[in-house]
Amino acid sequence: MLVSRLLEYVGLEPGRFEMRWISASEGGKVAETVREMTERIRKLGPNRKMRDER
Amino acid sequence: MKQAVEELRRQAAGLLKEERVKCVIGWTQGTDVARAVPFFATSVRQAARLTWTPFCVNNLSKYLLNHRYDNTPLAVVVKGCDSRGINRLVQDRQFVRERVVVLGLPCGGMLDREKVLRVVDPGAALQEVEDRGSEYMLRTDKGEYGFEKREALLSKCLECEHNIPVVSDLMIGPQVPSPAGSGIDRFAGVRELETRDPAVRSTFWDRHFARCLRCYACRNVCPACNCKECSFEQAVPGWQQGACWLSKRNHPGQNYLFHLIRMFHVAGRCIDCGECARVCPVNIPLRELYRKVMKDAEELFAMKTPGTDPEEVPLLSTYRTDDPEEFS
Repeated sequence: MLVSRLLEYVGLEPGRFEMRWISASEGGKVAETVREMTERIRKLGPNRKMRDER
Repeated sequence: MKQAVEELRRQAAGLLKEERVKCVIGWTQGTDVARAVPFFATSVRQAARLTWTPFCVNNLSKYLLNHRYDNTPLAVVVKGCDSRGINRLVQDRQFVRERVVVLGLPCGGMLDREKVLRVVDPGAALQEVEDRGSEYMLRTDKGEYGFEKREALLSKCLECEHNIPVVSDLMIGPQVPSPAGSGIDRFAGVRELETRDPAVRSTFWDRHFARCLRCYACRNVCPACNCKECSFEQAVPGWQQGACWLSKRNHPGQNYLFHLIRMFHVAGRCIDCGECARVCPVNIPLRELYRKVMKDAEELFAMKTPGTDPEEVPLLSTYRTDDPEEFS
């Protein structure tokens, strides 16, 4: 809770960071969560913050 | 404040004379009128050089760490905000409470040096300071100056939570009213930033962190930063640095991570003394960063400012079964 609030405070778009609690036995839920999140992040576009260009 | 200064010197001299302590950590007048510097009095004669002015901003609790591995009995002078640092260091088992004599000074607020120097000649000699409640009178050899507290105090003082030390063995000088106005919102600055657009916040911190020199002054001055070996100072050869959390390179992205990692290392331990923001050579508003977690901790978990209570358990070391949660 503190992490997500802080990341939004320093300028990360709401929704880019998410924490979920999923048991190792819930394979379907993992896949579904990841798919959902990938879609959401694709809409937000590539992350520009904290990038390490070399 | 004259009375408090005299009492401070007398008590310090007494402690040193009776050999109850080897050193009294306090402040002395610095090189200009609006500067007080840390001072380590080890003899009765030196104790007479201790001072107490509205420029004694340094949080001296950090200096106790210099003696964490020996058994030197020490005395340290603290203001209200610094006194939370004593509680925190004792909670972190950095030293035993009995070894330190804490001299507490009720504080009417610290003046902003920049604002004072706009009016007063830096070369003037400070003779006497009088706390008149809503203003300070500075008597120097070049005239008298009055400073309205609401105008000239440091912003942290106008949001002061404890102007009377929360822990002390000897309270020195008369009680003074808190410089904070009644009904003041301590987290107004944080709340203001929170209401902005994420993109605005992003630019705000980008600009500040890009200027960071990675000098680590914020860490060095911080009483919450008491690790023997710092995670930012690990000896890692250059070719391995990519595998680390973060390199020592001064780069905007890396600086971001540095500040966020430090932020989480001091979460629940930061006492809000404001020293990090004061010592920052490029004026990054670090207090607004650390206070964000403090505010959330207060709102979500009803945590008091760290160091308020000697018995408390730090934020990230405890839980209750009825803590709010957002996991699904």
